[in-house]
Amino acid sequence: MAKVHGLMDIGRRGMVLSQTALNTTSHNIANRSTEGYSRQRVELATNPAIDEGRYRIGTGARLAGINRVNNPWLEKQIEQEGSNFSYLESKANALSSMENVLNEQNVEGINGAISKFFNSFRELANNPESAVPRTQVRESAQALISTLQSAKRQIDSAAQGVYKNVENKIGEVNAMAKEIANLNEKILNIEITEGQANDERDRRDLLLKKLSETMNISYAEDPKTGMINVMAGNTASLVAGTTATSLRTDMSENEGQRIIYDLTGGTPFDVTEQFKGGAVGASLSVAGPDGIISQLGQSIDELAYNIANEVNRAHIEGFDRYNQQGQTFFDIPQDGTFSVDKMSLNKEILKDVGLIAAASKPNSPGDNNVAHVIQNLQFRSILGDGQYSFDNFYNSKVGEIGLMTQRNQSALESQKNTLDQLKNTRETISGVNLDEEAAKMIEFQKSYEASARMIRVADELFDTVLNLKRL
Amino acid sequence: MRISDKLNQTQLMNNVQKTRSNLQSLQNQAATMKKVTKPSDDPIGAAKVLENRTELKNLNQFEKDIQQARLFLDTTESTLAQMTETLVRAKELALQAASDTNGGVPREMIAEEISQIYSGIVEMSNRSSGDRYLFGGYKTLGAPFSKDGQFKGDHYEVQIQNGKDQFIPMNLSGEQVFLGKDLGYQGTVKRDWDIPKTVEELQAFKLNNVENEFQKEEAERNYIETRGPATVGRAERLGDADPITGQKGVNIFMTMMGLEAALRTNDKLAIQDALDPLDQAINQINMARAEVGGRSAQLAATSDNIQKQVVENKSQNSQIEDADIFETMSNLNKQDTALKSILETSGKISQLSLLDFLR
Repeated sequence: MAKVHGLMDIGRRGMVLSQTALNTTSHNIANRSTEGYSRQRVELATNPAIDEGRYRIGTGARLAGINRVNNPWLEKQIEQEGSNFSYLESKANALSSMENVLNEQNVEGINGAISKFFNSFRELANNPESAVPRTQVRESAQALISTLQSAKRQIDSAAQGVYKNVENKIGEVNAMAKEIANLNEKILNIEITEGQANDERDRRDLLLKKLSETMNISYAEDPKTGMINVMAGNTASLVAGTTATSLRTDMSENEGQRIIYDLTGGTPFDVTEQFKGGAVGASLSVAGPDGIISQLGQSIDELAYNIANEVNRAHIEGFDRYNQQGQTFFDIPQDGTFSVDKMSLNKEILKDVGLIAAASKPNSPGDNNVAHVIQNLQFRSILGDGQYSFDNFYNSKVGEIGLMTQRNQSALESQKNTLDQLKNTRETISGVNLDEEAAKMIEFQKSYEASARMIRVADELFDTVLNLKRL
Repeated sequence: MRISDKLNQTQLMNNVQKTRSNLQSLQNQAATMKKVTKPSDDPIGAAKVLENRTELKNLNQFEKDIQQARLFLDTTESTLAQMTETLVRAKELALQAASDTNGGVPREMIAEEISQIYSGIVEMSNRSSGDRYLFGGYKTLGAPFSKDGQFKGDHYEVQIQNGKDQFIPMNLSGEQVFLGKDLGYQGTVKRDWDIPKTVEELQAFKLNNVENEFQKEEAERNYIETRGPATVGRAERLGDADPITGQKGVNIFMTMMGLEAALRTNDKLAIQDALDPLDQAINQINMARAEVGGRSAQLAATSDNIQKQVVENKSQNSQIEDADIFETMSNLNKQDTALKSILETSGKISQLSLLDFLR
C-alpha cells in the first residue's frame, strides 16, 4: 500500500523537476540571441512504480535528461554552404576592389588618358611648327604615365590588403583551433559521467562553421570520446583530441603568400596548395601568382610597355625641331625588368619639347609624318600577337573584370539564399520561440504549484493521522 | 512551421538590408543619372561605353583637324582667287599691248603695271595662314619664293587626318601652283597618296624620299630652260608641253618677267607669244583652285558625317549607360513603400507576445 511519505516524496520531486524545467526555460530565453545556440528540452520520464500486490502504483516523474534540439546533418550542411558563401564573398571583395581600379564610368581613367595621349599627337600633326601642341604632347604623356602608375599602385595595394587579410584569418584559425581543443577536453570530462555537454557542443559546432568559412577543413567526431579531430586542407592536422597545432603565413618572392603548417618538433610544411575553399582559399586564388589581381597588374605592365615601345620605335625615326634624329620618347628598362613604375618620359624631352620629333626629314618644320605614325598606333592591333589595339586590350580587361564580378555577384546572391534558407530551417528546429517558452513557463509554474499543493495535502493527511487518537 | 524569434529577426534584418541596398543603388542612379556606374552593372555595355568614348574623342579631334585644314585651305583659296583676278588683269593688259592700236597707251606704262602685278604675285606666293606659309611644302616657316621667283620650299604635302586612316593634304606646293612643275594630267594638281602609317612604312617612305629627291636634283641639273624671258616665243614652236618632262605647266614668274621685258623692249611678237602662257597660267591657277575646292568640299562632307556619327555615338552610349529617370523614380517609390511596410509590420508583429496576454 502506498505510504503518505511517498505522496510527499512525489510532490517534492515534482517541485524539483518543475524548477529544473523552469531553469531550462529561462536558459533558453536568455540565450535566444546567442549565436549557434540550440534550444534545450527537459526530458521527463516516469519513476519506477512500486509493486503492491496485484497493482503497480506510480511514484511520479524523474528527469531523463536535458537535450538540445539539433539536427546534426543540417549543421553539417550549413557548415559546407557557409564555406562556399564565404569563398564567394571574399572573392567578391577582391573583385570589386579590382573593378574600382578600372572603373571609369564616372571619372576619367586609363582609357581616357590613352585617348588624350594619341589625340595630342594628332594636335601636333595639325601644327608641328608650334610649341603649344608639343607642350600638350608632353603633358598628356605624363598624365598617361601617372594614370597607369596609379592604377598599378592601387592593384598592388589591393594585393597587400588581401595578404594582410589572410594573415589575420590564419591568426583567427589558430585561436579557434585552440578553443576547439579545449572544448574537446571539456566535453570529454562532462560526458564521461553520462551528462550532455549541450552548450559546449553548440559552441564547438559554431566554431567549426567559422573555421570552415575561413578555409576548407574536414573533421570527424570520435563516437567514443565525443572529441572532434580537425584537418585543415587535406593533410594538416589542426586539432587532434585535446591538442591544437598552428598555421602561419610566409611571403615568398616568386610564389606570393604561402601558408606553412608548423608542427612543433616537426619540419615546417607548405600546405598552401591545399586551400581551395573558404575566405582563405578565395584570397589565395585571387592574389596568387595566377590570380586575377596579379594578372591585372601584368596586363597594365604589358599595356604600358607596348605603348612605350611602339611610340619609341616611331619616335626615333623622326626629326625634332633642331633637325636632329629623334631620341626615345619614353625611358624604359630594356632588360626585361619592365614594370610600369619604371616608366618615365625622356628627361631631355621633359626639359625641351622641341625635342619631340614630328618630322620624317630634317629641315622640314611642317612635316608631320612621324606624329601621324604615332597617333596611328592607337588604331593598330599590336597586343596579343596582333589581336588587340591598346584601347581594345584595355576595354576587354574592363569587360572581363566586370563579367567576373557580375558572375561572382550572382553566384554570391544565390549562395546567400541557399545559406539563409538553411539557417532559417535551423532556426525553425533549434531556435527559441518566446511564446513557446512562455507557455512552458506557465506549464511548469502550474505544476510547481500543484506539486507544492500535493505536499500540503500530504501534510494534512499526516495531521489527520496524528490527530486520530484525540478524537 | 515553427517560427523562432531569431528567425523572425534575421528575416526582418535581411529584408530591411535588401530594400535599403536597392534604395541605395537607385538613389545612386538618380544622382548620377546613369544605370551603369561600374563595369559589373553591364560588363559588355561598360566595355562598349569605353570604346564609344574613345571614338567620340577621336571624332571630336578629327573635327578639330578638319577645321584646321579648312582654315588653311580657305586662305589658299582666297589667295588663288586673287591670283586669278590678277592674271586676268595681266592678260587684259597684254592683249591691249599686243595690238598697235592700243588706244595710245604707251607699252612702257603697261610694263609698269605688269611690274606691279609681278610684285603682287610674289607677295601672294608668300602668303601665310597664321605663321605657316601656304606654298612652302614642309618648309612652312620660311618664305617659299624669293623676289626673282626662285622656289625655296619643297614639294611635300602636309597631311591632315580627317578620319581613321583617312588623310587629306591641306597645302599645295608652290612648285606646282606657281612654277608648273610636276603637274598631273591636263595640268591638274597631283596628290600624294603615299602616307606612312606604320614605322615600317615610315622607313620605306624616308628611303623613297631620298631617292626621289636625288632624281629630282638630277632632272633639275639637266633641265633646259624652255621658257625664259628671251624665249617666250619658243612656246609657239614647241607647243605648250615641256619638251623634257612632257608636262604642261607654266612658270608664272618667268612668264610675267618675259611679258614685262617684251613690253619694255616694245617687242610686239614676244607680247603676243606671252598671251598663250598667260592663258595657261590662268588655267593652272584655276586647276589648283579646283583642287582646293574639291578638298574643302570633301572636308565639309566628312565634317557633316562626323557630326552624324557624334550624335549616333552619344545616343548609343546614352542607351547603354543612362538611367531611365521615370523608371528610376518609380522604382525608388516602390522600394520606399516596401521599406516602410516592412518596418511597420515588423514593428507590429514584434510587439505581440504571449507574455502580454497572461494574467
